Amino acid sequence: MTPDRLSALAMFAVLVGGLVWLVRWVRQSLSWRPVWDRFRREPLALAGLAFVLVLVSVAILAPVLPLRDPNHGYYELLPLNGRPLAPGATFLLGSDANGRDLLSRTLWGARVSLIIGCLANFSALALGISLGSVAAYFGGWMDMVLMRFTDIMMAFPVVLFSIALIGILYSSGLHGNLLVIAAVIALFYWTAVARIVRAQVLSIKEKEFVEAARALGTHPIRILAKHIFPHLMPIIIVYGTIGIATTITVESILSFIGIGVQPPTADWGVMVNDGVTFMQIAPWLVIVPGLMILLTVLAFNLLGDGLRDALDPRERALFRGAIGGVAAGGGGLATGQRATLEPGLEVAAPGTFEVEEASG
Amino acid sequence: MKRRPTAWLAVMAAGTILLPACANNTPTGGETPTSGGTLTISFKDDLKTLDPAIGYDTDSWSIERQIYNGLLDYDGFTTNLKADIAEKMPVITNDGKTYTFKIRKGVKFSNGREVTADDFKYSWERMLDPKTNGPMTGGPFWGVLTGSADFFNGRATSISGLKVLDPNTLEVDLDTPNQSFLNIVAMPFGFVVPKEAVAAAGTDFAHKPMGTGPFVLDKWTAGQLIVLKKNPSYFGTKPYLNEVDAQIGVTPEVAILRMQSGQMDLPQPDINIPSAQYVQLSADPKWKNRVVTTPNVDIWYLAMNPTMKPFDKLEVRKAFNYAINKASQAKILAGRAVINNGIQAPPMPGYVPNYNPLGLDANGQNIQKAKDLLAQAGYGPSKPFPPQTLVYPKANADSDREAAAVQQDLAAIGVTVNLQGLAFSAFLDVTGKPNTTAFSYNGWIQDFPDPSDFIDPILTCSAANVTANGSNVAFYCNKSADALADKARGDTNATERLNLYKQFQDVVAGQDFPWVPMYSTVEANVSSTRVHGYHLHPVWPLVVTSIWVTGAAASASAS
Repeated sequence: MTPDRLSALAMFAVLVGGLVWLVRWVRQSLSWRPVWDRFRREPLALAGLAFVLVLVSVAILAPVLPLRDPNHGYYELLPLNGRPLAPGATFLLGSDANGRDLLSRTLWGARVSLIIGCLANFSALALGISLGSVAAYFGGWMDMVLMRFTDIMMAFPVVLFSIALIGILYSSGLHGNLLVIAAVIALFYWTAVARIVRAQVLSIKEKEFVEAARALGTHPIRILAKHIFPHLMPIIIVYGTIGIATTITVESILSFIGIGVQPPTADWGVMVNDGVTFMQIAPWLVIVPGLMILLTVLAFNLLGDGLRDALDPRERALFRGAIGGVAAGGGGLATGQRATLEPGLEVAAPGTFEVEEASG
Repeated sequence: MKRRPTAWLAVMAAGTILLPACANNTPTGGETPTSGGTLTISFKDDLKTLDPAIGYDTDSWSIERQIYNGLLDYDGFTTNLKADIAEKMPVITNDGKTYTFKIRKGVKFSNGREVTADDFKYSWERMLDPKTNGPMTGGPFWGVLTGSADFFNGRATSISGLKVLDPNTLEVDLDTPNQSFLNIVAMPFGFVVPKEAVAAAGTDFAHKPMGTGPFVLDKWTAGQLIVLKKNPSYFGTKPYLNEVDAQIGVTPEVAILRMQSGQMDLPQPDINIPSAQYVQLSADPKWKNRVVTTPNVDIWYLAMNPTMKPFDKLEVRKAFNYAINKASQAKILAGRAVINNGIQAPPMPGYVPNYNPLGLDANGQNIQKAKDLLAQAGYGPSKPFPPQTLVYPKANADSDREAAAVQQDLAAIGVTVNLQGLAFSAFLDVTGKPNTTAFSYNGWIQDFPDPSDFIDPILTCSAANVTANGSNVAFYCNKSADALADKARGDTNATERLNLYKQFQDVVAGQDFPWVPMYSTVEANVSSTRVHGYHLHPVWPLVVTSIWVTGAAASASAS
């Protein structure tokens, strides 16, 4: 067994084990069980979850599955005029004009999209939460400086600026580097998170237990980490899921215009780009990866929606106004929408968190 | 519309020449040409220049052909030369070293002035003048003129071999006889330009051209549109069209879409239509009869520079010759390529059919031999082959795929190849400089139909001895092969000459291997239903004088 396959199987085992453990823990947890019960009753959310799980599993297991090499061109199987093969016996989903197996490329492309999507999302969350909570907690000039900086970053048209940035990187040979692409996407996405987090922290910091901790002389960073951060969980969970949809979309756009992942690496955006010239004689080259992008984004959105509803059905309307306005606008990236959440408007969190020991 | 007698005669005359040449084109016999109308064509990029001393690409030559004339031209759609501004074919004396041209009376530039022999001497000296910075300065083709060497290095202010005997007689002296000299004279570099227009334009003659041709440049909006209008005082056979509009900045795919919706007549006429569109149009019953094809006189090859490691080892170059799947390349071009293991193209006299000195299989490969040769050269698990960069021109969607296929073929024998696609002008820069590019993907299309055109500018020692803008991109130099080419250049015995060129091919493609020759292409172009009389010329990228249009004008929006 090659190291690739070994690590794939190991990761899959970790994923399955982790999920099993999570479900069991949630079911016996007093505070989270109601969330899970509410979530289970939403069929669309479950559908989204199922799709995401299947996608992630397939992406992890790709080296183990009996797939052809996604980058190898089977020219010998193409007809003399080089016409791409339609879906059929040789290639389940057909081939592209280079004789590459579309099914294999689609599944391997899932890895690239998910990796970049998750990396970008995670970095954006980390950056947004840190900056937002620091700005809100310390207030004053720090708040002003950080928020104005956020405003400036939010005003940039993401795709255009990514083109410029990656264009600069082109000469240093870093184009196509997954980490770089994820970093560029994160560079713009963190602003939406920061604004929401700031609003939340502004309201939480007025609460009694925070005041109590402050009175005891607890260090501000410890207050942020131990007392305030847990209240951000709902936002983190929702953004963690809906955000991936946004980052995957942006990554596909960048690859489509040619500045994201480089050919021959299989990636949905690249596949759509390659397929456009052949669209009139081989439409499956565009339909298959395009449909995958659509379904993945839809699934993550449904999952995030379901989580948001499950986390607090009472505040559904208000919460929707806060988070939904940003998520619906594609994470606020493409449209530059700004989330408005009045300071002081509470987002109720699951019951137990309201009772807190004011420990140092 | 009233038919003018001269137009009718031209059709009759052209018909007798056109029929054999149009063997694979849709016959348009029985239709009568109509005068007037506008032809809309497209180019992907803005033209670099319309100065015939400088232009050396199919875009520039397509338009230059309509604005200028030279002493000689090709007869109809054949490869035979005929007199154009010259009254008749030149008198050749002195063992092939002296050509005397008589110039027709009454040929006028579009500013009204009559052309004289002085104008030709001026135009040719300007074209070869180092100050003009054209590609012909320094020797390729025109270096055979007596006195050109002194002119190139500044020791003389004019070329002694160009003698104006009287206003209508030009004598041209050569150092040694050259069987392809008349073809050289027929190249656009030999077109005549008026010195007062050049002076008036200052440094911008490239954008303010003036010649004697059937059309004049009416308007050139940079990056957008070029408009040519009929020249009423043209001395030759008048074209049917009144106007030619060239939309610029249109990709071939978009140009074809425009053609299908009636907004374009000839999409990108000077280059092959992309494979995807070719397959699509050939399968479409409405369009498949509008596609015309003709074999190109070209050779596409990988150049390996023997002056740069690791290509200094013969085994490495041979190994690469066994490794490339040429059938895949043909499929990428939608079948419009013929595998070619030599250096001459199929339509060229002297082409050796089924030339296969290495005994390659039907795909052009022998993978085991390739691996063996690499092992012989000392490469293996303990000494892996150093990764190479394949430099290729990004001409259209097919170029990336061609390069990717080469990358895959070499990976199969254990060679890692990185791809570097460049815009065409950047590609010419880096491949034309010595010691810069070790491995590149190239194509060479004929300048004129003579085997020397595939040897002198691209495989001789003098072509390798340049500091920039070289065409011998492998920088190959073999003195004994050179001797064969020198001998052949002036040889008046046609059979002996072709034999010498075949021997040259044996040295390059059977012994030294600076190239991996891959294939020769078949040109496919498409025209809208308005267009009649459109044929592909064996030498010129675009001929417009035989075309007439019918029906509603293409809604030429220059947007």
